[in-house]
Amino acid sequence: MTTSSEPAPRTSRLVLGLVTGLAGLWTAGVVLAPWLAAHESLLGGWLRLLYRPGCHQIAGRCLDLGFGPMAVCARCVGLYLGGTLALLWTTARNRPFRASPVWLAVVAAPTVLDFVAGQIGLPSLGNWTRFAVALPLGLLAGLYLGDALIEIIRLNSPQSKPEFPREDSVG
Amino acid sequence: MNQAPSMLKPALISGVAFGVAGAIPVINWINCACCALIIGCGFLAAFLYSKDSRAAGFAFRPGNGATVGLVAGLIYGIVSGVLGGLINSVLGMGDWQEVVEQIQMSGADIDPEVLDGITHFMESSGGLVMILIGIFFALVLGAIFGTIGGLIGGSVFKVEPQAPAQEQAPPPPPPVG
Repeated sequence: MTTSSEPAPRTSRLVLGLVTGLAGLWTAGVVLAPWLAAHESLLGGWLRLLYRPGCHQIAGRCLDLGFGPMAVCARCVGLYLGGTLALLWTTARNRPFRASPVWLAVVAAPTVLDFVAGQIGLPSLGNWTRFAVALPLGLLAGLYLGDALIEIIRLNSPQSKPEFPREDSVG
Repeated sequence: MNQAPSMLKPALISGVAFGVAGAIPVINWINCACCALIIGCGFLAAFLYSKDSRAAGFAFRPGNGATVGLVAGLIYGIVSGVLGGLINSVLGMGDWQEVVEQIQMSGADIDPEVLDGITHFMESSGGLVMILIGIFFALVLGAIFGTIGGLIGGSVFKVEPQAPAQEQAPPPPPPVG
Protein backbone atom coordinates (compact mmCIF):
# COMPACT_ATOMS: atom_id res chain seq x y z
CA MET A 1 0.00 0.00 0.00
CA THR A 2 1.25 3.47 -0.74
CA THR A 3 0.55 6.73 1.01
CA SER A 4 1.76 10.24 0.43
CA SER A 5 3.85 12.18 2.94
CA GLU A 6 2.43 15.55 1.95
CA PRO A 7 -1.13 16.68 2.47
CA ALA A 8 -3.20 17.53 -0.56
CA PRO A 9 -4.34 21.13 -1.15
CA ARG A 10 -6.92 22.52 1.25
CA THR A 11 -9.58 22.50 -1.48
CA SER A 12 -9.41 18.72 -1.58
CA ARG A 13 -10.57 18.45 2.05
CA LEU A 14 -13.57 20.60 1.22
CA VAL A 15 -14.50 18.56 -1.86
CA LEU A 16 -13.80 15.26 -0.11
CA GLY A 17 -15.91 16.42 2.83
CA LEU A 18 -18.76 17.22 0.48
CA VAL A 19 -18.52 13.84 -1.27
CA THR A 20 -18.28 12.06 2.10
CA GLY A 21 -21.34 13.98 3.32
CA LEU A 22 -23.31 12.87 0.27
CA ALA A 23 -22.12 9.27 0.72
CA GLY A 24 -23.10 9.47 4.40
CA LEU A 25 -26.57 10.75 3.52
CA TRP A 26 -26.99 7.96 0.95
CA THR A 27 -25.94 5.35 3.52
CA ALA A 28 -28.11 6.86 6.26
CA GLY A 29 -31.11 6.72 3.94
CA VAL A 30 -30.82 2.93 3.92
CA VAL A 31 -31.67 2.87 7.64
CA LEU A 32 -33.96 5.88 7.51
CA ALA A 33 -36.36 4.31 4.97
CA PRO A 34 -37.62 1.46 7.23
CA TRP A 35 -37.56 3.79 10.27
CA LEU A 36 -39.82 6.28 8.47
CA ALA A 37 -42.06 3.47 7.25
CA ALA A 38 -42.30 2.12 10.82
CA HIS A 39 -43.40 5.58 11.92
CA GLU A 40 -46.09 5.57 9.23
CA SER A 41 -44.44 8.19 7.04
CA LEU A 42 -45.16 7.96 3.30
CA LEU A 43 -41.62 9.22 2.68
CA GLY A 44 -40.28 5.82 3.77
CA GLY A 45 -41.81 4.09 0.74
CA TRP A 46 -40.49 6.65 -1.72
CA LEU A 47 -37.07 6.56 -0.13
CA ARG A 48 -37.02 2.78 -0.47
CA LEU A 49 -37.96 3.15 -4.13
CA LEU A 50 -34.94 5.43 -4.66
CA TYR A 51 -32.60 2.53 -3.86
CA ARG A 52 -34.52 0.15 -6.13
CA PRO A 53 -32.37 0.46 -9.32
CA GLY A 54 -29.22 -0.66 -7.49
CA CYS A 55 -30.53 -3.48 -5.32
CA HIS A 56 -33.02 -6.36 -5.45
CA GLN A 57 -34.34 -5.35 -1.98
CA ILE A 58 -35.45 -8.90 -1.12
CA ALA A 59 -36.61 -8.54 2.49
CA GLY A 60 -35.08 -11.87 3.58
CA ARG A 61 -31.63 -10.74 2.45
CA CYS A 62 -31.80 -7.35 4.16
CA LEU A 63 -30.53 -6.51 7.64
CA ASP A 64 -33.18 -5.59 10.20
CA LEU A 65 -32.36 -3.29 13.10
CA GLY A 66 -35.77 -3.71 14.69
CA PHE A 67 -38.00 -1.52 12.55
CA GLY A 68 -38.19 -3.55 9.35
CA PRO A 69 -35.78 -4.63 6.60
CA MET A 70 -33.34 -1.96 5.43
CA ALA A 71 -33.80 -0.34 2.03
CA VAL A 72 -30.99 -2.39 0.46
CA CYS A 73 -29.60 -5.90 1.02
CA ALA A 74 -26.87 -6.71 3.54
CA ARG A 75 -24.21 -6.81 0.81
CA CYS A 76 -25.07 -3.34 -0.44
CA VAL A 77 -25.09 -1.96 3.13
CA GLY A 78 -21.55 -3.34 3.55
CA LEU A 79 -20.40 -1.72 0.31
CA TYR A 80 -22.03 1.64 1.08
CA LEU A 81 -20.83 1.75 4.69
CA GLY A 82 -17.31 0.65 3.73
CA GLY A 83 -17.10 3.29 1.00
CA THR A 84 -18.37 6.02 3.32
CA LEU A 85 -15.93 5.08 6.11
CA ALA A 86 -13.00 5.05 3.66
CA LEU A 87 -13.98 8.46 2.29
CA LEU A 88 -14.31 9.78 5.86
CA TRP A 89 -10.83 8.48 6.65
CA THR A 90 -9.38 10.02 3.48
CA THR A 91 -11.06 13.35 4.30
CA ALA A 92 -9.66 13.33 7.84
CA ARG A 93 -6.12 12.59 6.60
CA ASN A 94 -6.41 14.66 3.41
CA ARG A 95 -3.76 12.45 1.85
CA PRO A 96 -4.07 9.93 -0.95
CA PHE A 97 -3.82 6.28 0.02
CA ARG A 98 -3.60 3.77 -2.77
CA ALA A 99 -3.59 0.04 -2.19
CA SER A 100 -1.97 -2.41 -4.57
CA PRO A 101 -4.47 -3.61 -7.24
CA VAL A 102 -3.91 -7.16 -5.97
CA TRP A 103 -5.83 -6.23 -2.81
CA LEU A 104 -8.84 -5.34 -4.92
CA ALA A 105 -8.96 -8.90 -6.26
CA VAL A 106 -8.40 -10.31 -2.75
CA VAL A 107 -11.24 -8.38 -1.09
CA ALA A 108 -13.60 -8.77 -4.06
CA ALA A 109 -13.21 -12.56 -4.29
CA PRO A 110 -15.44 -13.54 -1.28
CA THR A 111 -18.26 -11.25 -2.40
CA VAL A 112 -18.04 -12.44 -6.01
CA LEU A 113 -18.00 -16.10 -4.91
CA ASP A 114 -20.99 -15.57 -2.60
CA PHE A 115 -22.87 -13.78 -5.39
CA VAL A 116 -22.16 -16.57 -7.87
CA ALA A 117 -23.09 -19.23 -5.28
CA GLY A 118 -26.42 -17.48 -4.73
CA GLN A 119 -27.10 -17.27 -8.47
CA ILE A 120 -26.45 -20.95 -9.17
CA GLY A 121 -28.49 -22.11 -6.20
CA LEU A 122 -25.70 -23.08 -3.82
CA PRO A 123 -26.07 -22.24 -0.12
CA SER A 124 -25.25 -18.59 0.42
CA LEU A 125 -23.88 -16.70 3.42
CA GLY A 126 -26.04 -15.27 6.19
CA ASN A 127 -26.99 -11.60 6.15
CA TRP A 128 -24.48 -10.34 8.73
CA THR A 129 -21.69 -12.46 7.19
CA ARG A 130 -22.54 -11.10 3.75
CA PHE A 131 -22.39 -7.59 5.21
CA ALA A 132 -19.00 -8.30 6.83
CA VAL A 133 -17.62 -9.79 3.60
CA ALA A 134 -18.70 -6.80 1.51
CA LEU A 135 -17.40 -4.18 3.97
CA PRO A 136 -13.67 -4.50 3.02
CA LEU A 137 -14.54 -4.26 -0.69
CA GLY A 138 -16.46 -1.05 0.00
CA LEU A 139 -13.55 0.25 2.09
CA LEU A 140 -11.03 -0.38 -0.69
CA ALA A 141 -13.29 1.11 -3.37
CA GLY A 142 -13.74 4.17 -1.14
CA LEU A 143 -9.97 4.49 -0.71
CA TYR A 144 -9.45 4.36 -4.48
CA LEU A 145 -12.20 6.94 -4.95
CA GLY A 146 -10.59 9.21 -2.34
CA ASP A 147 -7.20 8.80 -4.00
CA ALA A 148 -8.67 9.62 -7.41
CA LEU A 149 -10.51 12.69 -6.12
CA ILE A 150 -7.43 14.05 -4.33
CA GLU A 151 -5.33 13.59 -7.46
CA ILE A 152 -7.88 15.34 -9.69
CA ILE A 153 -8.11 18.28 -7.26
CA ARG A 154 -4.34 18.44 -6.87
CA LEU A 155 -3.79 18.52 -10.63
CA ASN A 156 -6.35 21.28 -11.04
CA SER A 157 -5.17 23.29 -8.05
CA PRO A 158 -3.07 26.43 -8.71
CA GLN A 159 -0.66 25.56 -5.86
CA SER A 160 -0.26 22.00 -7.12
CA LYS A 161 3.13 20.37 -7.28
CA PRO A 162 4.30 18.33 -10.24
CA GLU A 163 4.81 15.11 -8.29
CA PHE A 164 3.45 13.57 -5.12
CA PRO A 165 6.23 11.80 -3.22
CA ARG A 166 5.27 8.43 -1.82
CA GLU A 167 6.57 7.67 1.68
CA ASP A 168 6.31 3.90 1.70
CA SER A 169 5.52 1.00 -0.55
CA VAL A 170 4.31 -2.22 1.02
CA GLY A 171 1.73 -3.74 -1.34
CA MET B 1 5.50 13.40 -31.23
CA ASN B 2 2.99 10.70 -30.34
CA GLN B 3 -0.70 11.47 -30.40
CA ALA B 4 -2.80 10.87 -27.28
CA PRO B 5 -4.88 7.70 -27.64
CA SER B 6 -8.56 8.08 -28.42
CA MET B 7 -11.00 7.61 -25.53
CA LEU B 8 -13.80 6.57 -27.85
CA LYS B 9 -12.47 3.09 -28.64
CA PRO B 10 -12.18 1.82 -25.03
CA ALA B 11 -15.45 3.54 -24.10
CA LEU B 12 -17.23 1.93 -27.05
CA ILE B 13 -15.83 -1.56 -26.42
CA SER B 14 -16.72 -1.45 -22.74
CA GLY B 15 -20.04 0.38 -23.13
CA VAL B 16 -21.36 -1.94 -25.85
CA ALA B 17 -20.14 -5.16 -24.16
CA PHE B 18 -21.60 -4.26 -20.77
CA GLY B 19 -24.68 -2.63 -22.34
CA VAL B 20 -25.55 -5.88 -24.10
CA ALA B 21 -24.95 -7.80 -20.85
CA GLY B 22 -27.13 -5.30 -19.00
CA ALA B 23 -29.99 -5.85 -21.43
CA ILE B 24 -30.04 -9.66 -21.16
CA PRO B 25 -32.64 -10.62 -18.52
CA VAL B 26 -30.72 -13.01 -16.24
CA ILE B 27 -27.26 -11.44 -16.62
CA ASN B 28 -28.55 -7.98 -15.71
CA TRP B 29 -29.26 -9.24 -12.17
CA ILE B 30 -25.58 -8.47 -11.54
CA ASN B 31 -26.70 -4.84 -11.40
CA CYS B 32 -28.59 -5.79 -8.22
CA ALA B 33 -25.21 -5.67 -6.48
CA CYS B 34 -24.81 -1.89 -6.38
CA CYS B 35 -25.00 -1.49 -10.18
CA ALA B 36 -21.91 -3.72 -10.44
CA LEU B 37 -22.28 -4.08 -14.22
CA ILE B 38 -22.18 -0.31 -14.75
CA ILE B 39 -19.28 0.17 -12.33
CA GLY B 40 -17.52 -2.70 -14.13
CA CYS B 41 -18.19 -0.94 -17.45
CA GLY B 42 -16.40 2.23 -16.30
CA PHE B 43 -13.64 0.18 -14.70
CA LEU B 44 -12.98 -1.83 -17.89
CA ALA B 45 -13.00 1.34 -20.01
CA ALA B 46 -10.40 2.86 -17.65
CA PHE B 47 -8.29 -0.31 -17.87
CA LEU B 48 -8.39 -0.35 -21.68
CA TYR B 49 -7.59 3.36 -21.89
CA SER B 50 -4.71 3.01 -19.41
CA LYS B 51 -3.27 0.23 -21.62
CA ASP B 52 -3.51 2.46 -24.71
CA SER B 53 -1.97 5.37 -22.80
CA ARG B 54 0.90 3.24 -21.53
CA ALA B 55 1.59 1.96 -25.07
CA ALA B 56 1.57 5.50 -26.46
CA GLY B 57 3.77 6.80 -23.63
CA PHE B 58 1.11 9.07 -22.17
CA ALA B 59 0.11 9.55 -18.54
CA PHE B 60 -3.16 8.04 -17.37
CA ARG B 61 -4.70 9.85 -14.40
CA PRO B 62 -7.93 9.37 -12.43
CA GLY B 63 -9.39 12.34 -14.32
CA ASN B 64 -8.92 10.43 -17.58
CA GLY B 65 -10.49 7.40 -15.91
CA ALA B 66 -13.51 9.42 -14.82
CA THR B 67 -13.98 10.85 -18.32
CA VAL B 68 -13.65 7.55 -20.16
CA GLY B 69 -15.88 5.92 -17.50
CA LEU B 70 -18.53 8.60 -18.00
CA VAL B 71 -18.51 8.13 -21.79
CA ALA B 72 -18.62 4.34 -21.40
CA GLY B 73 -21.46 4.65 -18.89
CA LEU B 74 -23.48 6.80 -21.31
CA ILE B 75 -22.90 4.28 -24.11
CA TYR B 76 -23.95 1.56 -21.67
CA GLY B 77 -27.13 3.53 -20.95
CA ILE B 78 -28.06 3.88 -24.60
CA VAL B 79 -27.26 0.25 -25.52
CA SER B 80 -28.87 -1.38 -22.48
CA GLY B 81 -31.84 1.00 -22.54
CA VAL B 82 -32.68 0.45 -26.22
CA LEU B 83 -31.80 -3.25 -26.33
CA GLY B 84 -33.43 -3.96 -22.94
CA GLY B 85 -36.60 -2.18 -24.04
CA LEU B 86 -36.71 -4.20 -27.27
CA ILE B 87 -36.05 -7.51 -25.48
CA ASN B 88 -38.68 -6.72 -22.88
CA SER B 89 -41.28 -5.82 -25.50
CA VAL B 90 -40.51 -8.95 -27.57
CA LEU B 91 -40.56 -11.26 -24.54
CA GLY B 92 -43.53 -9.44 -23.02
CA MET B 93 -41.68 -8.42 -19.88
CA GLY B 94 -41.25 -5.06 -18.28
CA ASP B 95 -44.94 -4.32 -17.96
CA TRP B 96 -45.89 -1.52 -15.62
CA GLN B 97 -48.04 -3.99 -13.68
CA GLU B 98 -44.88 -5.98 -12.98
CA VAL B 99 -43.18 -2.85 -11.66
CA VAL B 100 -46.18 -2.17 -9.42
CA GLU B 101 -45.97 -5.72 -8.06
CA GLN B 102 -42.26 -5.27 -7.35
CA ILE B 103 -42.97 -2.01 -5.52
CA GLN B 104 -45.62 -3.71 -3.41
CA MET B 105 -43.33 -6.69 -2.72
CA SER B 106 -40.55 -4.36 -1.56
CA GLY B 107 -42.88 -3.12 1.17
CA ALA B 108 -42.96 0.45 -0.11
CA ASP B 109 -45.87 2.31 1.44
CA ILE B 110 -47.04 4.29 -1.58
CA ASP B 111 -50.36 6.07 -1.77
CA PRO B 112 -52.66 3.77 -3.86
CA GLU B 113 -54.24 6.82 -5.57
CA VAL B 114 -50.81 7.94 -6.83
CA LEU B 115 -50.06 4.42 -8.06
CA ASP B 116 -53.46 4.17 -9.80
CA GLY B 117 -52.87 7.51 -11.54
CA ILE B 118 -49.47 6.43 -12.85
CA THR B 119 -50.86 3.02 -13.91
CA HIS B 120 -53.65 4.72 -15.89
CA PHE B 121 -51.12 6.98 -17.64
CA MET B 122 -48.85 4.03 -18.47
CA GLU B 123 -51.69 1.93 -19.87
CA SER B 124 -52.96 4.76 -22.05
CA SER B 125 -49.54 5.59 -23.51
CA GLY B 126 -48.49 2.07 -24.50
CA GLY B 127 -45.07 0.45 -24.11
CA LEU B 128 -43.09 3.33 -25.63
CA VAL B 129 -43.17 5.34 -22.41
CA MET B 130 -41.74 2.39 -20.48
CA ILE B 131 -38.90 2.10 -23.03
CA LEU B 132 -38.18 5.85 -22.85
CA ILE B 133 -38.23 5.78 -19.04
CA GLY B 134 -35.89 2.76 -19.16
CA ILE B 135 -33.45 4.63 -21.44
CA PHE B 136 -33.60 7.72 -19.23
CA PHE B 137 -32.82 5.79 -16.03
CA ALA B 138 -30.14 3.72 -17.80
CA LEU B 139 -28.47 6.96 -18.97
CA VAL B 140 -28.60 8.58 -15.53
CA LEU B 141 -27.34 5.47 -13.74
CA GLY B 142 -24.77 4.85 -16.49
CA ALA B 143 -23.37 8.36 -16.10
CA ILE B 144 -23.15 8.17 -12.29
CA PHE B 145 -21.87 4.64 -11.79
CA GLY B 146 -19.76 4.61 -14.98
CA THR B 147 -17.90 7.65 -13.67
CA ILE B 148 -17.43 5.99 -10.27
CA GLY B 149 -16.07 2.85 -11.98
CA GLY B 150 -13.80 5.01 -14.16
CA LEU B 151 -12.52 6.91 -11.11
CA ILE B 152 -11.71 3.67 -9.29
CA GLY B 153 -10.07 2.32 -12.46
CA GLY B 154 -8.19 5.60 -12.84
CA SER B 155 -6.70 5.16 -9.39
CA VAL B 156 -5.98 1.44 -9.81
CA PHE B 157 -4.37 1.62 -13.26
CA LYS B 158 -2.64 4.98 -12.88
CA VAL B 159 0.21 5.53 -15.37
CA GLU B 160 2.72 8.18 -14.40
CA PRO B 161 4.04 10.44 -17.17
CA GLN B 162 7.31 9.33 -18.68
CA ALA B 163 10.35 11.43 -17.81
CA PRO B 164 11.68 13.27 -20.85
CA ALA B 165 14.54 11.34 -22.42
CA GLN B 166 17.88 12.86 -21.43
CA GLU B 167 20.11 13.92 -24.24
CA GLN B 168 23.13 11.72 -24.55
CA ALA B 169 26.39 13.41 -23.64
CA PRO B 170 28.80 13.62 -26.56
CA PRO B 171 31.61 11.03 -26.44
CA PRO B 172 34.85 12.28 -24.90
CA PRO B 173 37.46 13.44 -27.44
CA PRO B 174 40.09 10.86 -28.34
CA PRO B 175 43.33 11.15 -26.36
CA VAL B 176 45.87 13.32 -28.10
CA GLY B 177 49.46 12.19 -28.47
